[in-house]
Amino acid sequence: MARLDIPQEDIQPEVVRAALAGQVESIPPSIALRLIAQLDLPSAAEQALLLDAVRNEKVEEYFRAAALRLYTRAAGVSSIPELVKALESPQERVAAAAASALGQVGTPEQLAALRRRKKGGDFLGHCLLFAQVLIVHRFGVADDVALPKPELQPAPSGVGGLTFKTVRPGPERRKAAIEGLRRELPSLDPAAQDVYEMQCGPRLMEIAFDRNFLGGADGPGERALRPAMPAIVAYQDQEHGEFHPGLLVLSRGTGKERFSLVLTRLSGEQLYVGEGAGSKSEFDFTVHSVKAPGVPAVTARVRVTAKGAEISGVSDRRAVAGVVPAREKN
Amino acid sequence: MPGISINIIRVGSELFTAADITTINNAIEVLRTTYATVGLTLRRVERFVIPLASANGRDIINNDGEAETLTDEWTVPNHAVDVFFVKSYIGSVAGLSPVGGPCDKNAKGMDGSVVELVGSTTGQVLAHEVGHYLGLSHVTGNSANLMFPSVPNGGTLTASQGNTMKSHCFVEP
Repeated sequence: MARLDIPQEDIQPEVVRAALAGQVESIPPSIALRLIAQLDLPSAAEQALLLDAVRNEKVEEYFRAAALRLYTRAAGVSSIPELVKALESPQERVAAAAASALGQVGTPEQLAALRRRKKGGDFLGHCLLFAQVLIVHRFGVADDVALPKPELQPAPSGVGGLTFKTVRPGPERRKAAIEGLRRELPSLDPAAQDVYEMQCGPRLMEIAFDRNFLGGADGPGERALRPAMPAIVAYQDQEHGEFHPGLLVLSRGTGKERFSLVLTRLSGEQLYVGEGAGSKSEFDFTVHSVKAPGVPAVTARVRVTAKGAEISGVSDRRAVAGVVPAREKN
Repeated sequence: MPGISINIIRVGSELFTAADITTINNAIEVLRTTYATVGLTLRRVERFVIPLASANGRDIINNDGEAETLTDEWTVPNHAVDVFFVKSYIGSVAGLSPVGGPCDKNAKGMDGSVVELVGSTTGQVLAHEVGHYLGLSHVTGNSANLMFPSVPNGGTLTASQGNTMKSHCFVEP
């Protein structure tokens, strides 16, 4: 990890504003976006600067999309009207960024807008679908929208594999994990989370489990019967030790006392899926890996009871081979 | 003289202008010159592209997790460090790499370096991140060193750091 050290004379609102508009040759837009956080502006002024970048149609598409993501992080749910507007952008990268952000901060009211948006390319179509799935699970909406069923990998051989099992972390790592999750998912309520820790090979994970999944205001286990997001997995960065959201855990009831589980990246790719049985107070899932580049074969058992969650399993040391990029033509 | 090879992979290749390609070429020269001071040669530089249609949105890196995902999803099957260039890496950092990255690029975990195009500083970011991959940790308290946590810095390497890099399994005699 390398941080950029920007000269103090460039950390001025007027310089940043000009750079955001592409008028400062020595400061590319990506650096200008980074500078906004260093200006130490009041929140409203910071958001206004980001909005200028989002709305500036002269700026490159990728940069407007990046500005939109930053604006959402700064403004949270207040960004929703701007996101709905950006969803209709003819620039697909901007519309895709808006859809992804709506999945994280939007409400069921935005489902219609997400459905209305013409699909365009595969990436936009994926972002639109996953945003709907995420809203449905975050709010427990009765809705059939679902991700396609993925192809699974065979179970790991076990011999020489990496085993993992949940334990309870100390207060320091619990705090660091919650802070890392809230940087990107500000709606996460720290008080409602039970945190578990799991080490798998070099990877340290903290799992924030939503207590309301079993004992919410709707009554014990009622929340679990509807689409839900019972947990979020934070990965610890191997270079600088900070935590960031790595996996979203989505569940739903599939029949009488039957449930399904899918673990996705924040960007919506499915990595692990599981099925299991449960009642209102106890769940037992078996989870397997999806066949996708970079994903190792994993088998895990997830048990959730009133006493807490237990996860254990085994992972292969090697993953499905990555896709080979195309060689550049001269 | 021992040497390493790198794969330059442009993510969202259509986004890169002629000026961006020049920035990447200049960055490669910074790496070559810096590593030569400790007796490590840059050998093959192979170039690859991931078009926008295949990039799944990873042309903009939203967080460190996405940087790691990018290196997991794409791999050049050769004995060289995969370096993914992106035009935007949201957050305060301009690159990410594992310290002592693996030579089995299908091993579990991050297996490449991600570098954001940040103008004339890109060369130091590239050399810094590949330095991590070859086993170097941050050096605090000495802003003359390439592995100082922030760039631009003095861009120097010590003989001891050179020895660490030369012991990486990607280094060829």
